[in-house]
Amino acid sequence: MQHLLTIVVPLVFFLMACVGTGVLVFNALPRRPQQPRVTELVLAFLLGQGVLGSVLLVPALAGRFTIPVVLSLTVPFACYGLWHVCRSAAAILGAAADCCLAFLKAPLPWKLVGLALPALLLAWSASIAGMIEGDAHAFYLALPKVIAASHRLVLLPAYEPFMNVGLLAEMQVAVLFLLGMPDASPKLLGWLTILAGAVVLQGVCRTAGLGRRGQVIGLAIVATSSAIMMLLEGKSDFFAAAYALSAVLYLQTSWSDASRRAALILVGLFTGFALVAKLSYVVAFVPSLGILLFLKEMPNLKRMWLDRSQCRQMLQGYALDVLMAGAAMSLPFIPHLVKNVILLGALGGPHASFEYFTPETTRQIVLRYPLVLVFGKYWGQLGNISPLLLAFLPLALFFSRKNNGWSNTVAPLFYAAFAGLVTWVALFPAVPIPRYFMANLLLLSVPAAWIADRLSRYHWAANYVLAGTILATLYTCYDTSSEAVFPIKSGYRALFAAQTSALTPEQTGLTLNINEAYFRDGFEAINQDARPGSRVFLASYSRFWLRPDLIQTVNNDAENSVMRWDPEDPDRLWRQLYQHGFSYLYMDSGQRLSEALKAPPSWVNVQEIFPNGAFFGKGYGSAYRLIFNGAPGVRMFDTLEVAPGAWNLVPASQAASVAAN
Amino acid sequence: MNYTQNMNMPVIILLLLLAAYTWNLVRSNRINTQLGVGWLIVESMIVLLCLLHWHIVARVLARLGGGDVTLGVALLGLGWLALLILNNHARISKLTAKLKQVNQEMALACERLDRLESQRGAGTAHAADGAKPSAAVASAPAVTAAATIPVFRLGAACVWMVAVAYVFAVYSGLAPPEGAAGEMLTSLFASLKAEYLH
Repeated sequence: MQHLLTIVVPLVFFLMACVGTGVLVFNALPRRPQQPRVTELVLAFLLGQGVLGSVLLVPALAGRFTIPVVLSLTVPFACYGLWHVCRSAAAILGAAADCCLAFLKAPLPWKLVGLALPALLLAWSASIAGMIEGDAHAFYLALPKVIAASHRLVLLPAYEPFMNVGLLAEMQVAVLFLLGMPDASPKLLGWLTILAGAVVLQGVCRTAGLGRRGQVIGLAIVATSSAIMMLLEGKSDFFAAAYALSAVLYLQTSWSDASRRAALILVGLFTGFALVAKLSYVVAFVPSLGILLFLKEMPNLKRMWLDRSQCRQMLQGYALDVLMAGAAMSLPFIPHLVKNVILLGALGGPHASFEYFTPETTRQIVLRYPLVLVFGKYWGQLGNISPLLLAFLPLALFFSRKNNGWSNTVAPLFYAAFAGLVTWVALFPAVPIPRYFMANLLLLSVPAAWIADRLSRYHWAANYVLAGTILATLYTCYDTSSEAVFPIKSGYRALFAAQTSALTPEQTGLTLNINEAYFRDGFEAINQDARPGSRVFLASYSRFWLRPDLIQTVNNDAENSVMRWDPEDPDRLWRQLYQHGFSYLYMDSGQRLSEALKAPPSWVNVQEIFPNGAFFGKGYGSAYRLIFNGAPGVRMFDTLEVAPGAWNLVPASQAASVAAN
Repeated sequence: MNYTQNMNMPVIILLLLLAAYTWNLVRSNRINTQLGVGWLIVESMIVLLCLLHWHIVARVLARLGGGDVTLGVALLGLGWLALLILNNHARISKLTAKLKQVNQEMALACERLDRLESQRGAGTAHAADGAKPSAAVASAPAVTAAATIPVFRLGAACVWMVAVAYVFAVYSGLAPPEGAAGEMLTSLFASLKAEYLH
């Protein structure tokens, strides 16, 4: 029970803090378009995430990311959020009752869908015991763990240039680590954000005129997208999609709102948070935003063209709209840019190259859209968008859309999403990675759901086939992904078992995906053996399972550029390891330094501490203790605890003088 | 696999008997045609799966039953029965409410007719039987009956959806690629992958 509370209490507390923060911002915009109560709570949660994720950068940069400071910044909002949620309890229960009534009234095939869909979305919470993705191992979970333990935001070793990215999600996860959530359980924040994004998408569908069935089909597209499911493994890309969808929802409601200003401010805020969370949305989402902002005004503009005075007035109004949205959009960038200046000395960072493939492969990728998005397995892709998009969108060819509301409400979303997608393919043809333009793909689910909904009402056979297709796809996703991504039995045990650190390795395997458990054991071997502040040389991308004090002093970018195995000078690497103060070495399954280990110099004793004869060999990595005796040269670097939990790499002389004092 | 082979004949015979009974119900109009055809389609599919020894069935059942196919069958069967009962209760409640409404409307209509008769006097009293509204007045079709999609297009749309679901199952590894279609899919998937800098 205590273990369950250490997971649930911080999560619920942070959830309330986000809701409270978001509601306070909403209260400052009383003329905003109103949403149903539950949708408004979810939008408040997402807005609060963005605000808190930005505000918490301040104490982190100041080295004051401690429990008293964080609680003083969040408790008032959490109390207000809790009070607001309690006041909305009747509305929440009413919405739940409406859903139950709709379920009872639904035809049998849709009752099955109505059972399977929420079951799958809830089962995703078992990702607490699932695999952790490579990028999360390296950065997206490792950085928040270090921020929480060291109470500061500093450059993560080996990822110094990469720190220019927005850290909205990472700051939130850092709060959860700080509040004591164990192991990788803060991944649950990603799951909650995905659920929130799904609710917002349902709101977008509803505002576009889709009925309950269409909204369910839209949710089914979310639930059957492996590109979203894989994000449960610790990546934070869906945060941007959720913020972008919120912006679209407010844009939709601003179409019919006489006073658009409050809606546009919220559109700007959400878009700003989306861009900070994922800069690729500048290319994919901003064009879509522009289309949605002005598409519905085009007929008015055309009509007023002849009347110059009115046309000028309208254009002035539009310019003011753009300025207002732009100003709101720039607000989230301020703390992000300040962070970059403090940490990196520049507003941005080095531009990454997106030339992932040869020109011929790139040409083939472009020619094979949209199949690459649904059935592709390209490097870095990490999942696909739902096959239901491919199943339903082309059905538009089979029947007429006239007089069915397509042109008024659904078509703008289709054109906007498609335009953004085309822009991305034109500018980055070698990047067929759905999470870079997830919001556009989810917007395409609205017309897809509309078409499928209409088709299901034409004929009972189409109704059965459609429902059957959704059920089959839901099951396929569950069957193929649950063992790795959301192992239900392990997730149940992880929630209700004792602290996993108190378990034996065999018991850990029951509360964590078995491959992840074995992988973790390699790092645990070092954690158990190393004294505080030891240096670990990582010949690996991953670091999350290391102790936070060890993560802070692993080999950095500069050291990685000079410390390499050279068969011509086999002693050089070992000299460098000694001089730079390393006392442990870790290699992943790639074993790229295995040649160096075959014949180390006589003055270094290499002792294997993992896998140490385990049946799986070095398939899950290997860890070594390094003992130097009479090594040539002098030790140049050492580590120093500059504040509780905060370790720096310093010259050895400085560390020695501090130790002497 | 042995388990499914042993199960097959009794299951197939049972299903054939059930199909015959369902057909009889449909023919004698004791069951709605749409529902009856739906049952027949499901029964035919199960017979087909049993005949083909499709291992995917055993895999799905074992998954649902935590490794035990029997438990999977029992869970699926119980779940299906519960859903069916719930669905039928909902339909019965809906029909009961409609029946009540129709009875009320009939009673009101009868009362209006009686009032008219008494106002006109004894000479113009007509047999009210012929003027009684038909009970079928409430049976407006729930689905827009006018099919604006030609049957061929509708069939093509259904085939397309099933094909995409099948291709996804093959792509995910749930269903093995079989026959010429399997080879085509395998080469399609091979053309949709590339490693870094390749």
